[in-house]
Amino acid sequence: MTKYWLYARLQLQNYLIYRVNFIFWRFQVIISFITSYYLWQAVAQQRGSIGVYSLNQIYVYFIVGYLLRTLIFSTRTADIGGEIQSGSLSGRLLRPMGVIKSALGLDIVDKIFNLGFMTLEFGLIIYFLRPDIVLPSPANLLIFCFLTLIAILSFFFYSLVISFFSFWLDQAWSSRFLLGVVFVNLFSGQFIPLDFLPYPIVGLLKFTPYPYFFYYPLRFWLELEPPSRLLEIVIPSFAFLGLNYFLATRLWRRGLRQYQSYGH
Amino acid sequence: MVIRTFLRTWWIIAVNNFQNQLLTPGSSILFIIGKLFNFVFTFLVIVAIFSQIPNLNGYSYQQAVIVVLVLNFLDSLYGFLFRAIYMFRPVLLRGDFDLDLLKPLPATFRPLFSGPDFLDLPPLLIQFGCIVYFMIRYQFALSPVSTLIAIFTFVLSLLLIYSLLLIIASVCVLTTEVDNLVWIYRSFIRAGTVPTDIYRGAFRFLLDFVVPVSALITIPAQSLIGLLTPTGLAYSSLITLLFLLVSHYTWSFSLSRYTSAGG
Repeated sequence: MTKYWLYARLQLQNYLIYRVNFIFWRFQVIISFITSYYLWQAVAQQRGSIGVYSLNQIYVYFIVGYLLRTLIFSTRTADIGGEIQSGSLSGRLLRPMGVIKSALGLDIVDKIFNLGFMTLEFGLIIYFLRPDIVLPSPANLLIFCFLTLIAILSFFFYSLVISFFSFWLDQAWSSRFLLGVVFVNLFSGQFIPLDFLPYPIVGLLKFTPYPYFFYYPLRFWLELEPPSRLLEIVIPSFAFLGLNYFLATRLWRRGLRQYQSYGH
Repeated sequence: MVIRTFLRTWWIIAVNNFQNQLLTPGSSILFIIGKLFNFVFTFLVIVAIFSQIPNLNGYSYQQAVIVVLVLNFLDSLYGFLFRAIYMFRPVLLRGDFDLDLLKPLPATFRPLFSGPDFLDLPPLLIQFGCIVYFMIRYQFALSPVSTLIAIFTFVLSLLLIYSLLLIIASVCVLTTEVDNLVWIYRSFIRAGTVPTDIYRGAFRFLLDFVVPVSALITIPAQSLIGLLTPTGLAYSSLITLLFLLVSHYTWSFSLSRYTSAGG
C-alpha cells in the first residue's frame, strides 16, 4: 500500500510543477459552471419555474452538480490512452505495481486535490450567488451519497475502458473525445436536466450509463425521485458499474497481449 | 508577397493535415460523429427551452433556432481555421518556437494558422445548409444591404476570434499555458447558445466586453434575423478594433519576452 501512496504523492508534486496550468483549469471549471448557471437562471426567471423544477431547484441542480462534477469526472485515467499510443506505457509496466490499482490511487489524490480547491470556490459561489440550498432529508442524502460513490467508481472504470481502446485505435484522443467528453457532457445532464429533453431521448438514455453518473444522484438530492423508484435506479447503477469493471479488466488483459510499445 | 507566401504555406500545410487525417479514417469518423452530436444537442437545448416557455426574453423559437445555428456554424469555422492553437503548447515546451520565428512568415502563423482541421468541414457544411434552410423556412428575408451588413458582422466576428486567440497565444508564450485558457473561452462561448441579451448584471458585462460573445455570436445572428441595431453594429465594430489593438500589443510584448527555454 505504501508504494501506491508514494506514487500518489509524486503525482501531487507533478501538479505543482505547472501551477498556472492547474489554476487555469480550476478557473475553467468555475466559468463552465457560471455559464450553465446564468443560462438557466435567465430562462427560469421568466416564469419562476421550469418543468418540475422551481427556480431554486434549478440553482441547486447546478450548484450541487458543480460538487458532483469535481468528485466524479476529475480523473487521470485519460493519460493512459496517450501512454498506450506513445509507447510510454512501458514505463508503468516496469513498475512493481498494478496499473489499474495505481490509476485508482492517482484518481483518489486527484479528487482530493481538486476537492480542496473546490471547497474554496464553493465558498465563493455561496458568498456571491447566495443560493438557498435546502438539504434533502437524511434518507435522500444517504441515497445521494451512495449513488455518488457508485458513480465515482463506475466512471473510473468507464474512463479506463475508453483509454484501453487505444490498444486498437490509432488515435487515443478520438475515442476519448466522443465517449469521454461529448457523450458524458451531453448525456449525463451536466448542461441540461435530462427530463427537459424529448421523452424518447430520455427513455433511450436510461439504457446508457450516463444519467447514473450525474443526473439521478442530483434528482435524489432535489427529492424529485420517489422512494419507490430507488431500486429502478440503484440496480442499473450497479449493473453499469459491474459492466464497466468487467470491460476494463478484460480489455486491459487483451490489450496487453498485443501491446508492442512501438508508439506512433 | 508576404500574403502570397502565407497563403501558399497554409495551403501546403492544409493538404498535409488533410492527408494525415485520411490516414486514420476510424478516428476521423469518431471525431466527426462527436462534433455532430454536439451540434444536434445544442439544437435540442433550444427545443427543450421552448417546450417550457413561449418566448425567450422577446426572442421567438424561430429566431432562437437561427442564433443556435450561427453559434454552431461559427464554432466549426473557427475550429477549422484556428485548431493550431491547441498544438502550440508542446512547441513552446520543447523550445521550438524560435525555429518558426526564423521563417519568412508572420509570427502568428504557428500558433493560429498552422493546423486547419478538416474534420470541422462536414459539420460546417451541414450547419451552413441548416442556416440557409431555416432562413428560408422561417421566412427571414435579407435585402442586398442587410446581406452586406450580415457579411460585415461575420467578418468582424472572425477578426475578433483571431484577436482573442492571439491574446491566448501571447499568454501561452509567457506562461506555457494554453489548453485551459482555450477551454475558458469555449465555456464562455456556450453562453451564446441563447442571445446574450437575456443575461443581466456582471455576467452580461463579461459577455459584452471581456470575452465578447455578444459580438462573436449574437450580433452576426441578429443581422440574419433582422434584429441588428445601429448601436449593435457600432459596438461590434469598436470592440473588434479594440481587441485587435490589444492582441497585437500583447503579442509583441510576449514575443519580446520569449526565451526559447522551453518548460
